[in-house]
Amino acid sequence: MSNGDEPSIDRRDLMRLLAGVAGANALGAATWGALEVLLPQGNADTWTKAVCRFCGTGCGIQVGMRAGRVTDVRGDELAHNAGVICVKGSMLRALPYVQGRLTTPMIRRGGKASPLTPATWEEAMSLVASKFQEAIAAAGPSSVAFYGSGQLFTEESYTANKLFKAGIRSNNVDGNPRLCMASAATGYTQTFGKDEPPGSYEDIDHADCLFVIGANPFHCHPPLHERIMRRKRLHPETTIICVDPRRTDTADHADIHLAPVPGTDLLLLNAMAQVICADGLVDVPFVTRHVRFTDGNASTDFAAFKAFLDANYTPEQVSQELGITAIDIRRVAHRFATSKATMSLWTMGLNQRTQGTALNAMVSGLHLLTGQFGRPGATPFSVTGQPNACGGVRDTGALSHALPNGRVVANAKHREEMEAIWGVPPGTIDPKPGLPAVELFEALGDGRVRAALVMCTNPAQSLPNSAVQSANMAKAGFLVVAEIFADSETAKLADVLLPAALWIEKEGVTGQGERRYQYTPRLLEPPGQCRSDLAILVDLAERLGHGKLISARTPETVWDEWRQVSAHSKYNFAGITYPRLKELRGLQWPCPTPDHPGTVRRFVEGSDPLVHPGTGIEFYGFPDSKAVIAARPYVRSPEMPSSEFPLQLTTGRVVEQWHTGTMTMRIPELRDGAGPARIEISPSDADRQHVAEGAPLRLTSRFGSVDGLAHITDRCRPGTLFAAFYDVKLLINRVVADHVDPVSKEPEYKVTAVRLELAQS
Amino acid sequence: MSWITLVRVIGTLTCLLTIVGGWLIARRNFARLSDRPAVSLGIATLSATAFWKLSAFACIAVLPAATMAVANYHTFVGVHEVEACSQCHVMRPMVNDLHDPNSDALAARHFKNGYIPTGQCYACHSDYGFSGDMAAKMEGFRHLARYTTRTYKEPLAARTRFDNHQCLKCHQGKTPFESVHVHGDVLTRLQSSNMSCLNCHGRAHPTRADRTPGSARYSALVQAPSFTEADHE
Amino acid sequence: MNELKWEGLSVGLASIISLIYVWQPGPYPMGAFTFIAQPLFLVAIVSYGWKAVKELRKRSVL
Repeated sequence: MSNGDEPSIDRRDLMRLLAGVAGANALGAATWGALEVLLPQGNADTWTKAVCRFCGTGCGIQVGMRAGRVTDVRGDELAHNAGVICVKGSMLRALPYVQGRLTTPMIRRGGKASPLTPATWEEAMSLVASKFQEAIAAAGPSSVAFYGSGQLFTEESYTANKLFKAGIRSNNVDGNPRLCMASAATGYTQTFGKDEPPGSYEDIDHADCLFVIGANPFHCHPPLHERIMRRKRLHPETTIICVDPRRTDTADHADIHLAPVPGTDLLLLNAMAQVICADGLVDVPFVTRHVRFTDGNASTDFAAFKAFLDANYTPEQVSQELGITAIDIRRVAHRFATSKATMSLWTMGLNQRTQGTALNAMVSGLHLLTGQFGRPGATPFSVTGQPNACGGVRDTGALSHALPNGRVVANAKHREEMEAIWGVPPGTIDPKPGLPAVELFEALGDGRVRAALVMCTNPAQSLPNSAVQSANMAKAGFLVVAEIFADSETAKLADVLLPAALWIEKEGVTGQGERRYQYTPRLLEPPGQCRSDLAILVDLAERLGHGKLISARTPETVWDEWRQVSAHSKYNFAGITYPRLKELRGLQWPCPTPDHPGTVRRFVEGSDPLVHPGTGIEFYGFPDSKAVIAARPYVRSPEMPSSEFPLQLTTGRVVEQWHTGTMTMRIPELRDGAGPARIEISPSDADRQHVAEGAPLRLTSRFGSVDGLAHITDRCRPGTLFAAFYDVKLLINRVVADHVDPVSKEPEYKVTAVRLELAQS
Repeated sequence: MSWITLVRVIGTLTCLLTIVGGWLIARRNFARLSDRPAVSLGIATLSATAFWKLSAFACIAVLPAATMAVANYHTFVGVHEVEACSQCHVMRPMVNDLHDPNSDALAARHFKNGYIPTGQCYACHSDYGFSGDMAAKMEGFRHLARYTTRTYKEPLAARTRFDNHQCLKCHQGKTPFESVHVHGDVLTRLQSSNMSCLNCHGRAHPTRADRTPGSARYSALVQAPSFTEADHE
Repeated sequence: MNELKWEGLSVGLASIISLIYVWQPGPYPMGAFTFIAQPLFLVAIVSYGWKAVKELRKRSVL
């Protein structure tokens, strides 16, 4: 439309307008392109799923890497822990780079007094093999021993167990799970006929009553504590009961805190059972169908069990010795029995006890009495300390009395089965059980065991009565230690030190506390000459002439052998293959076939594939398919207070530190966060003995003495002291008693009678 | 009168004036304009040239600048509101989970306990707006470009690291935070966003798996939210 | 300058987009505003400014 003077707006102008719009678009697109390219990419380029190196929660993690280095570690939101880890897991990024890694083999060439000097692998391994052969020739196979760890990969523990028991023919195969989970294993086995928790972490999400006893998850299993808190947030009617002599952080978050005198809590469990039976809170149909009673020797019945409890275990009868009022006992018993779903969570407080087996069994017993079993949220759950005590040691039977998948050395049929499965001649496996941890190191000291291979653990610091045991190790004929540092208390006593790969420097499977097997990939090259513990064991096997027996030599081939072995048992996980483990966030066994999704609740029809249809709940561990409740008489700990030793010491962990601190004390945030280990003492005890904050103390027991600095805190029960064991400057295990549970052989770390003096500074 | 109303009034004004004025200016032949005073504005008279050149300045420079400033209210301030976030369907899982009393995700927990009075998304994602760093804003524009051109893939993933200051600005200094020992252990890492608070406190929103089309929860999560503005006050 | 045809039409178009955005600030109007209208405004302003500066220089004002 043209109007003489006015420029017309015609099609060309519109085309130019569109061209302009296109140009503007191009500008916009260029800006967008710049944004795509220029924006920072976070702090990692790749993220790979893996498993945390530390506790038995066994958190799934995501390892972030850039340019071949680990730059970040996050929780894996798809793993069972839903992205939650703890401060130690968060600092895993620093673990592969800690200072002071042992990177070459070392040999003490001039006798015990000479220093360790660098050697080649050939020198070191041929020396190890020759020393082992020498010992076997002179004193028989049982003169050589293996002491392993709940922190080795399953493939490694399985191979060591097979090599020593079926190759070398020594049953002196034990490990640090003896010190933490042995009582849980015997407790479960005596109750259900099979080891390992029947429930899952998922049960926390459904529990209406959480009975937390002998456990401090706030510090020791933080993601489980967070899961408990989550349940409480979403369902405030949930009651959290915490039974612990100390007022821990866990107790602070509980609704009810009961503080028993250390060593007496079987009185609580028996009294709770007494109340449940007397007040008609027993789930009679459940008990009738699923429970058998014994007195420890022969079968009895419910009436006899009730009579046993009524005789000595009413709340009023136990209250004084236990240190808990009768009212509280009744309150807790009622809550336990009548809640819609009760879950118990316990760990070292019940395991590391002279009555560990009884305590473990009795907690399960309370669940069976009240029918608090097999439903979501109703289960007795023993929490595991180490990342691979379950999968690696308990399930593979890498303990001195055990064989794979719940078998025992002392049972002829079990030996025959394993000999057949492993293809060794009948009679290969020694019928006599070997020595458990405490006795094993005593035998090292007195020469009954002449040579030992210690892998991935630090017994010189972690064994009870550690000064005596360190002396035993120092006297040992020949001590081989596979370690990542040369300066651990145990490494210092070695005759040969072998540099081991750490965490993601090797691949393998770990089995955490809820029967979940998970895979850790190899993401880094081991530094220097470090090798995986599997490679070390395979090398040793070859040199000792057992190359044919140890034919599986890579993690995946070992795993495939092991999972097929498991198919011959009720610990069947043949369906858990490496491809599935790499794809999924682990799988819970039983898992018999490659398409089985794993088992959340064991012994429960529909969840556990080994349960016969129509049975509902089947305790297939026993021939009559029933679980067992045994009468458990209370036996006073040998370490009750006396006039000479009027206080009781208990030990444990703190959130920033893992076990003997060899790794975590090398990470500045964790080292400085925990600070030096102290002897924790209650204000009233401190007043009585004129102890000031930070005062130097000497702690003495029947076993030894140790010096340390005081920390006054009202978390401690009057009469009870506490110390963690992560600090080489406070080797607390020097005073800790080494009485063991007669069944599990697990030492009683939790109760030692001590006396306290102000040290001369 | 609320800010939104003001934006609408002023924005409508500037836009309409620019549309009309732009059209008129486009049709003007400036070479043919007269320099003689012609238009009277009370105290002054303007020539046609002057009038149209001033109008050009107004319509092509001033009014557009004003329009951009006013319209960007939505981009930088309007995004404070939860409703703004939920406009993109890929954000609905976050918004729906926020309102879910049975969710334990951090966003839902913060919403449930009522400590954040309004703009609950913005409270923790405040770097998209006026304050906060350029990287977050650029990331926001990148998301906008991807969404409008449908070149995104679900589940979404932000490339920038979350700035922990957005947690610490409320939590640090308060007793519940300060009394937790492990916070002190890694405080520098938390403050520099080198370590994520979510490591110990769990995820903030539904998992990436849940937000993947085809997952069991997906269709429920992308339902149109049914809350009103009043729910966020 | 002779004409501001393109600039006038451009700011008009950009203002239409902006008007929609001001009233309906959803993702697509936001996208159109941010990546089309704003660049269009900016290019128009720059183009106009360039023409204006050229003319002012021609007349020795600048």
